[in-house]
Amino acid sequence: MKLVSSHFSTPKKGGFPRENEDYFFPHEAEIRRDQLSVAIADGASEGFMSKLWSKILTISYVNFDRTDLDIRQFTDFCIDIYDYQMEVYIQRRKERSKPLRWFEENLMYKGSFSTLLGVTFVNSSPTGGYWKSYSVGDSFLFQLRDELIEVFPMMDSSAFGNSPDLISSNPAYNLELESRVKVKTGQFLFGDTFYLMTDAIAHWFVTQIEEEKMPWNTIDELLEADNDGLIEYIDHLQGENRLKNDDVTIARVNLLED
Amino acid sequence: MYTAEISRGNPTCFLFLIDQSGSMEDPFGGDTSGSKAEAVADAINRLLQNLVLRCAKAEGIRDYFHVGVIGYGVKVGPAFGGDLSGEDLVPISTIGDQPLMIEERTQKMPDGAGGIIEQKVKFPVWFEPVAKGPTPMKQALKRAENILLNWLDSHPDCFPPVVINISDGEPTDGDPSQVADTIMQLESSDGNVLLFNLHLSSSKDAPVEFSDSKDDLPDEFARLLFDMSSVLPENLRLEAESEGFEVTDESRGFIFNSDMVKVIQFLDIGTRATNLR
Repeated sequence: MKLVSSHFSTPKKGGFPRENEDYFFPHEAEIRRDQLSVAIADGASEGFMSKLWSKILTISYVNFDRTDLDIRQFTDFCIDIYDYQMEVYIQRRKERSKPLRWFEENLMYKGSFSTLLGVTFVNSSPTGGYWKSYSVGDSFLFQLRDELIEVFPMMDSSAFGNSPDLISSNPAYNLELESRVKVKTGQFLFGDTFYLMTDAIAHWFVTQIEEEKMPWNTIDELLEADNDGLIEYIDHLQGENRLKNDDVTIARVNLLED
Repeated sequence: MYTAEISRGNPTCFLFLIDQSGSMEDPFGGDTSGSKAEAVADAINRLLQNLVLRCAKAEGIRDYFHVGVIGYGVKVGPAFGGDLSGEDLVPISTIGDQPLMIEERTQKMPDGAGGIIEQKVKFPVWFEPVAKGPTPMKQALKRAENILLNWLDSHPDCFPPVVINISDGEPTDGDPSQVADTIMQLESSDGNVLLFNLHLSSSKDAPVEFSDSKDDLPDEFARLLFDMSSVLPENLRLEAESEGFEVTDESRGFIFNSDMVKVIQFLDIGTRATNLR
């Protein structure tokens, strides 16, 4: 099986690229394997190092590459990596004579927060296979085969809110983690396209579908062009109040016969 | 209305008016462990800390808010101490960088495995309790009006500023209603300035929180502060509801004689603009 992917990510308007807390992984344009995973995460803005956390979650999901994910075990593994990275960060600050300030210490105790949507594709037949996705929060997966055939985790533009479920780097906020995880399995045929998106652009995408439009054509055109085209289009949507000013990440994944 | 994005390019402001009159020395709601002045100072310091934390990232504090604390008692003026003294409105990054002192407190937190652990956290202090002199509330509101006029002149499209007045007594410099009305008529393109009132008391009267009527209020002064309070916009009404308060479409940003937990909740709800970008 061959996975061909492209992705685009831009910070909220007025922000800097380093402040973009979304993350998608992997970054290779083409991967050949019979089982592989991709993941997207949206770090919450009110967290200390949400970018680091969304990066750890996505990279770990792809490396776990499992269709029988134990979310508790997975999260504990990610927290260990996060804690280690934080220790390294604190040590570096000390070495540079810039110890953490009071607000950094207090935020660090609270931890970081992020959504996560990961999907694993398994080539199980000559024409395709199955996929399994795990999701916490409001990052989205869309499956297309000429037309939209699957949306995960929901298909209702009114359901987008300001308080999505999140995975935390602080175990104290993960007590009800299992109840926040949504799981979905589906079938794919070679030639199917999957889109993974963070909430702002997903909300626009769902709204377009509800208006019986085909937003994937617009996304495809813009992904084929350069990044500037997508940034301009996002500016245009935000200017018309059709897109929330937020970090935007879109990944397109095509599954092909190798 | 009340939907403008709050960003570094389009910040909003919060202004706290704090009664520092002699009667603030009295115990809070019958509790003899501390004065109202101490309880309010603690609540404001806690709120300032939360505002800083909401804007803080690893790379620093983003200036989503500018904050002013105006005290009224022996004098009317900015109540910040230390390097911030004399400042009417201060960017939240400057507040975060310049507390008067940093105490260490112990906080009980869940450990993630069903137990509770004690965690030491930093508790910065910007504002110290003062309780002396009369209650020149009208002058304090007038000062707020001038600060807000300047702010709105340079930030015409901001999320409307929020003013929270905390008092325990009767104004000693005349009826403040007219100035309060003027403040509530000030506006940005996103709506009118919001004026909320928090009436502390040493009495045993039943608390009144986010009421839509002044019928249950026991005295003239409480009714005056009710009239001087804005109706909660929808997003704050939903926030109050989610915190367990009973609210209606006409609920005012006013609480009377509540305990300190409710006072902190009120301050948090009043400043919980969610549209941070």
